[in-house]
Amino acid sequence: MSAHEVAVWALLGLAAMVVLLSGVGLVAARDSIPRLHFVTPVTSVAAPLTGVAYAVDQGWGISAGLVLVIVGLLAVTGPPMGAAVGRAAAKNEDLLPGDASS
Amino acid sequence: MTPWVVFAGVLMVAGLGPALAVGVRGRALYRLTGLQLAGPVTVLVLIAVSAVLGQSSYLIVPLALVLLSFAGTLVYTRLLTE
Repeated sequence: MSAHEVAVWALLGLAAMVVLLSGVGLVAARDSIPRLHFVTPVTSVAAPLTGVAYAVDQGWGISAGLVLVIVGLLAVTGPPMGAAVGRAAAKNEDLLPGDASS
Repeated sequence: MTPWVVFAGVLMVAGLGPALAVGVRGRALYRLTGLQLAGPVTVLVLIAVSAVLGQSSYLIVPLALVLLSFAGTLVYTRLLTE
């Protein structure tokens, strides 16, 4: 097994481990706001690792560039999505400061 | 067996499984977190499928899914708080 293949296995293994732990955490968490912490590693850690693994495996070209764009979009859109769901959950549970008077 | 096949299999079991389990139980906002996890995991599975088949043209599907998943989740949060 070449160093190239070892790098791909290692990167994909790390990404799969992050997804596995996030899935376990998501099921174990009981409330919607703590659950959001387990979605973020998938978009912020596992996705970039997968993109780098693709580029290492397939070579740096147009398809690798497209994959890096996709994982970049995942990393950029993940936090606003989490913030939106967190805000909605907080609003539903009357945890937002402005909601007490309304 | 290529690393991408193993990766796709692990993600479908360890990523989509919990997302489905969370997505079918509890209140609507609880279920939304399951949908939120299912989107990125599906994107990674589709990238792995593209790598396994050697068809880079298939990457248009995860690209579209990233954008639709983002917009869809924001729409759901809007609808569920009204």
